[in-house]
Amino acid sequence: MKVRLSQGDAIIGLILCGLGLWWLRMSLTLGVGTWAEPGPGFFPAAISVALAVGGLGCAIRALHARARDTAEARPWIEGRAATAAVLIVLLCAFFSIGGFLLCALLFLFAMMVFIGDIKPARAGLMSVAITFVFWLVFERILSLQLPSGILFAS
Amino acid sequence: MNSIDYLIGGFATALSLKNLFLCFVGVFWGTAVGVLPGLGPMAGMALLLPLTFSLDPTGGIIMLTGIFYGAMYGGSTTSILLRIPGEAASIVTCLDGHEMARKGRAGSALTIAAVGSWVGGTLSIIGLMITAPYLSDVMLSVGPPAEAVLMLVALLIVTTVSNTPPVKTFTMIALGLLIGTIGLDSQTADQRFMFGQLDLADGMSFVALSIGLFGISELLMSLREKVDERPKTPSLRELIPTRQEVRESTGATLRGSGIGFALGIIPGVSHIVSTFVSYAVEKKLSKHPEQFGHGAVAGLAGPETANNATTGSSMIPLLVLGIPAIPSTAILLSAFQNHGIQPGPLLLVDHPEVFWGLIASMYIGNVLLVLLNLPLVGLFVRLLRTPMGYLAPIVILICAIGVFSVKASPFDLYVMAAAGLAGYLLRRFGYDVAPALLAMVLGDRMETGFRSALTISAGDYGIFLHGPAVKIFLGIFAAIVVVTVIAKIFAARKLRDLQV
Repeated sequence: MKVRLSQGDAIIGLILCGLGLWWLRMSLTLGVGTWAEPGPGFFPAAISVALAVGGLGCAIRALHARARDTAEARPWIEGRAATAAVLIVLLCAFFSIGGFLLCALLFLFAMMVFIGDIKPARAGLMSVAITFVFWLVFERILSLQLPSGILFAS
Repeated sequence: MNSIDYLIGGFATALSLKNLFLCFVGVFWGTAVGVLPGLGPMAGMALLLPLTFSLDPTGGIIMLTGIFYGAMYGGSTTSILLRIPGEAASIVTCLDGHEMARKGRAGSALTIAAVGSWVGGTLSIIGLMITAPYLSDVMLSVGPPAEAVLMLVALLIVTTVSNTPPVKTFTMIALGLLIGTIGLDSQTADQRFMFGQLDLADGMSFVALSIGLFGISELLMSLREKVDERPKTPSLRELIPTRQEVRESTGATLRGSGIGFALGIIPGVSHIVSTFVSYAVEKKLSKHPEQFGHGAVAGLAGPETANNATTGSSMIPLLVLGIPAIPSTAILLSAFQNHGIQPGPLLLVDHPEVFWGLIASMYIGNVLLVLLNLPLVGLFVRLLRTPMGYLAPIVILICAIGVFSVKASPFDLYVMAAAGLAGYLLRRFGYDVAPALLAMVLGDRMETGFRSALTISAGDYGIFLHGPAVKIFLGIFAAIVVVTVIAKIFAARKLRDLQV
């Protein structure tokens, strides 16, 4: 879906406004206490109101700027960035299940092929090399805790 | 012991082989992330933050601070050679720095920028060293009401000086403050907005959020467009500036140091403001203002010096008040806190070895920057030629490793991914995410100060207006607002002239 800058700006403002209202509702259930003795929900409730008002202000401002917005509509996330975003989400979702070695290998390969337009054979070779170097540096030398995943679980 | 004795002790700490190595790693990595378009000091520091947890506090802070000023320096290389600011503060450097490069003076421009960065950085450290002990003494007398007011004032200043519209900055600050309320309530231990997720008991992971908001989102932003220009590496001989260039840059360098130091103390986007103000001042004072934008040496030396002077003075609010003036120092604050150290007036009393070790390492790091980077400019140019197809996956993988290794928590990875996507969308539509991160860091102290003050005063809100400290903070706020508004008008006019 393509949006103009001012449209996207307004939508994000409205989302933030909605988030503020939702947070306000949750804050009130925590107990705001009294003016003299604020409860755990007092500060979040006050900030939620600020977020809702600010978000609304941003949306109104963006709608006012609509007439001056002559830039062409563009997708929310463009081209290579969209592909990278999907791969990042997949990496994070499967990092602990698949383990570092498998996930790093597949992620590097997919990013190089789809983002960098690198030939699969070269990308495969580079992925293996980088994964090995990272494993050596981070797990063996720096002793960082990396997930072993289902394949290598002992 | 007086300050000189402490400084000598600091040099002994900073010159130990381990700390010297960490300082080198910091400035080298900092320059590399500063050089690469799309990665700035925030991302560079956030990436190595988890690694500092296994180091001693002094070593970890020395490395992170090295990344900070290394990145501010590195940004000038891309500005001069490619007209691409490696980070926002280097925008002004593009104007005359790149014009010098186009006229075959790339080497001179790099040297003038390097020497200016060194002078600005060093003078600002001297300023930091002189002012910090006095300010610390003043801050020790401040109680909870004044602390709450101070946090509020800091956030209001960020709203005032930010480059995005105030309503957007205000909204981002509110968002950051709200995120900061997630977790167990510090006074009643009530669960707040945890949705049954125990990973949130200590609040949202700062590392995951900062890497997502800055590292991941910056990479996604840089993947939107391809950069194909190939920079030329200047030879060592070309690095020597002419006598005329040295003469033209000397005054600008000294003025840039003063401007950068003064504006650096202001929370917010002081790097950008200080570089524009310095540029405007140099053009005003120049006998040949028509040369600005066409390769004027003073137009490069002044802003580049101001940029690095700002880096030193932006450490003052962090080290003396415990307030990060800019997002990069928020990462430093997080590093301090992870080692159980709270920056603020007591830092000099409780951890003098950390404070003075850091000061000494900054002197050393600034020298290292000049000694390493001019001969190694070819290496950084080669780094610039690395295709994003290789660079992006490597950086993202380092981000994931860094975030996961803190607590071995998959949940933190989800936070990183979500923050990365949210940060991308917010930035794509003109929202600056930096104030949100600052607010997240300051929010807890603001709320604690607010509630403690009300307990002390038995619910009397007048406590927030009484006392000399509160009045001083409000006075400083008013002064900063006036100065910033004038500086922004000045900078905006300058920008408009340049665009015309």
